[in-house]
Amino acid sequence: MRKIALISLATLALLPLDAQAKSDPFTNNDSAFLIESCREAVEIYQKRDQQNLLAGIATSMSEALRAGFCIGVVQQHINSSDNCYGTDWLEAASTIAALSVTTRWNTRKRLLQEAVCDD
Amino acid sequence: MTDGLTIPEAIRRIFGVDVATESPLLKNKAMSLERNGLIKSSRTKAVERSSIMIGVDQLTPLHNALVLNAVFSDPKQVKKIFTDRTYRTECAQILKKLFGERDSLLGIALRTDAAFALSEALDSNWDLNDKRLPNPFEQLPQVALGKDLSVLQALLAQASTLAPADSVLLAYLKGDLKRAAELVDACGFPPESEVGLLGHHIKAKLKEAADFDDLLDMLRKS
Repeated sequence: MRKIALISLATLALLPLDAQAKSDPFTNNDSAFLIESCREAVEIYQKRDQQNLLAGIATSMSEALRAGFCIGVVQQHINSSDNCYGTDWLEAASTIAALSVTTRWNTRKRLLQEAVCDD
Repeated sequence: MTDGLTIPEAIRRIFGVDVATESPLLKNKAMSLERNGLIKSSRTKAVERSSIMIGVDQLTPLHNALVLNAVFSDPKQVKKIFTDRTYRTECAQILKKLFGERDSLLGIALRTDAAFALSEALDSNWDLNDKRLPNPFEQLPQVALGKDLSVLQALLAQASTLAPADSVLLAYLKGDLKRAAELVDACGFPPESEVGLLGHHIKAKLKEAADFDDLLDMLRKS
């Protein structure tokens, strides 16, 4: 019994205990994830424009899923107010992709308001 | 009045191809072969611009050079085959491995007995300036493939040293799915064989990539 307890304790000790948990993209505070996702989206469209079939062959599932997340967030923001009507989402995504991930944005909403359009 | 022919006239006489309408590529290859000295020519002193004229005796070497050029796309290589016996023998081996048991290459039908005869002729003492080589192609690849000749070159470069199945795998691993799919078709693997299954998988991936392209295009507009 004690042996098992010791082994369990040892195993627990070896598990990485991150001070930062994996960031949850659905909180308002994670702009870094949004910026990185929009970078993926921009890259996929660059491949699309470069050569037929290239995007489909050279994009991993994770990259595509992240890109989809960016597209969704940006389109949602654009559709949320009349002020933003007509904004091209791919251009908006490019703007976001060019932002620095180290800048501290208070909320993702602020990022979108400043980088895309102010709703 | 000279008794020579222009290069387009010569090609028409040899292959029945009208380069102006059917294959500027073939004409360019022929002109490169003239420029590098393999095909002997003279220039007329015409009033407006001089034309390159070749003698009737150059028709046979031109025929042979263009047939070889179908496989060896660099005119320098073709000239070397005429002048360098060792290189010529190496190229004959490449042809043997390349044509093998095939009856088509990238969809261009091959006359198998002519294909075999061509590699044998190249291997032997056949006089390239004097006797026309057997032409294995129903239609010259330069005419059939036009500017996609590089696909054939890539295929040949692989096929000359690898077994066909290896070529397919190599292309696939390099991420060149289109070429892998073409190789599978060109080599005619039976669908149940391992390579046939790989070909099926490759085509499925290509379809997926095409669908992804369509999806991206649709999203862009939304």
